[in-house]
Amino acid sequence: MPEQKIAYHLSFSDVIRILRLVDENPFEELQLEMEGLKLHVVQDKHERSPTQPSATKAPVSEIAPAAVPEPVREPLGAAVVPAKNAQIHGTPVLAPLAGTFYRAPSPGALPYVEVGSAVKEGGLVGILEIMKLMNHVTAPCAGVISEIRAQNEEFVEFGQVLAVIDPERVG
Amino acid sequence: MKGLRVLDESLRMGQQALWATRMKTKWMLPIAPVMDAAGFYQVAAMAPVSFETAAMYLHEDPWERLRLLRQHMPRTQFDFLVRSRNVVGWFPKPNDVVELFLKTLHKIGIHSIKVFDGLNDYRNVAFHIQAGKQLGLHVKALLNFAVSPVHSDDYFIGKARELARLGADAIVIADACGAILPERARTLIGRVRAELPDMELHFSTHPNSGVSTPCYREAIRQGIDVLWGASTPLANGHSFPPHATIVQLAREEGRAVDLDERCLVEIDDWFYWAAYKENRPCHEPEEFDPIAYEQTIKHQIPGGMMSNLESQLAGVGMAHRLPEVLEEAGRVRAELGYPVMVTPFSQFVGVQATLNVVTGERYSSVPREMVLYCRGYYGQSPGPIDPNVLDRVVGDQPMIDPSAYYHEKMVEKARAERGPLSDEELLTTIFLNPTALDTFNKNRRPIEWDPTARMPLVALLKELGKRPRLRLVEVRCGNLRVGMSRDAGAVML
Repeated sequence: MPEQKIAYHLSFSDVIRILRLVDENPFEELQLEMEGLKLHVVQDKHERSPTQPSATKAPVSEIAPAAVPEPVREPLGAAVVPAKNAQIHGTPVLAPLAGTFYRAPSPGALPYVEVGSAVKEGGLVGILEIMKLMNHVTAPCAGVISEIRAQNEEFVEFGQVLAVIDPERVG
Repeated sequence: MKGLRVLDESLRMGQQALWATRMKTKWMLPIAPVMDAAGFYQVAAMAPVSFETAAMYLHEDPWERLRLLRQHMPRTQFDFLVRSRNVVGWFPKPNDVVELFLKTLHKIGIHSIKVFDGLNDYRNVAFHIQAGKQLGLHVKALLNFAVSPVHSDDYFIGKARELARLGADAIVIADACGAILPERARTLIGRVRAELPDMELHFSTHPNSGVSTPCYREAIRQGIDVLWGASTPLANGHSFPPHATIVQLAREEGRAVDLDERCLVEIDDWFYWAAYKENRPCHEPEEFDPIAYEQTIKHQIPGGMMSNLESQLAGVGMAHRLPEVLEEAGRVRAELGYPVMVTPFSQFVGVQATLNVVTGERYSSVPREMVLYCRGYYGQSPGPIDPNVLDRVVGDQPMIDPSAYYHEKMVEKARAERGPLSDEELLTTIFLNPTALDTFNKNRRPIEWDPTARMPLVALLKELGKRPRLRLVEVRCGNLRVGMSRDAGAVML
């Protein structure tokens, strides 16, 4: 093996350099001669936009340990939230951060609450998964669930109304 | 003194840190024979992250990848990183899963495992060490380094002794966050070396803070046996130092290193091409920045997690509050007793800090896993948890014995539920969460690769051929002449 190791004179690094030269070349014709290699390229006059993006572009970065990458979303302006949360009759249960909302402890299990369920202050309404951690979504006051606005497994935004509690109907 | 050995991390940490773990097997196999001949002590074949990512996002069967690597690198000793009780995946596993997993690795031809626990609570990995040894695996155990009032040299000496008692074949001083400085590397490695003169000792740190080179130099001076590195295009940043740097250091320090440099050049050349084709970044070495270091060291949030925090905050329109969150992360980390900032503890600290800042009331919203952490479910925190936090988070719930689930019968249960599956398939169903498993099962396809891919001239011609605006291409290389034209009769060689 060691004897046949460098079986080529042209390296991949050379190839990358040549391709960059070709892609960035503003002229119609390019002639290149380097150790052992001659290259002649003629290109169309009209379309000369580079086709190959450069390899030094910003990385797709993410949490290192196998986290499910969160889709990059537009920052949510404060103006959007009230529109989504319009017409609340009662006390809203809000998402403390963006994440995936779960209504039940596991797939197929009974939901923590349904419309009509009575809840205590601090009672469990659902689970919000943020970066793989399970956050309890709790009732801000005692009452009866009058509305559930977020679907199971729905990706919810910060401040989105997940459910509404009617505090008048305690007990 | 014995020669210095080098463990290759290109296919594990290199691609995890620089390629978001998205390197397909097709980029590994063509260079495998050269890696096999390079003289690495061991090659890190896979880790929990690469296992999950291969299945979930690349739709490759991780077991098939391991088998192919084994086949194409017959002389190489492979290792697999095992993350404490998680093994692979997010939730903790009992002994029977650990045992079946190690057996399966052994059967496929993995020689070595490295086991770690972010709390350095070795109750969590004692079984791994014992079971690995019984199978004849070479077992490396990690001393997870962190900078904190708790993580003193004495603390690490005690932990190293514990690992020696548990029967580890090698001890790795592993600085997952790139937090160690050269002076500390000198004292810490020197003291562990003196304490355990016959133990195989490894050291690894990341170049992100700009001091990995002097740290590696100190490690060589203190008689380290093995250093971890990566091929240059897969090194630096949050990966490991380049192999070439390690070779250079060893030479300067008068220590023999058994690596074939011609192979290293070829490996580098190939991964430069891979990075170019896949549009992935290559990192240059960083300069040490004392101010940035001081800021980072307070929270030690891993670089990979930073972008996630940024996007969470941007999502709530609070991108400008990142400095506040980082400062809070420093506080939360201290209050939790300084867990090493690796999975899952870095998430606990990062998410709790974000919640504390966003809600405006500290610990008003607490993830379930945080409660479990405070109740002792993940093991003993390195330092004590702040009593006020404990009170607030745990209240009057009882503490949890972290070993309570060790003897559960998860394998039997999984077999009963999932029917007749091979051990490999069964483990995949245990490791992947239901959604990931579903995605994998729907999309998985056999691993494809091109054994002739490592021919630069052919690659050049193919690439030129893909550029529609090129009317004519003529290449002469040695005895070879190639002409390609979109107009018949135009080639004039």
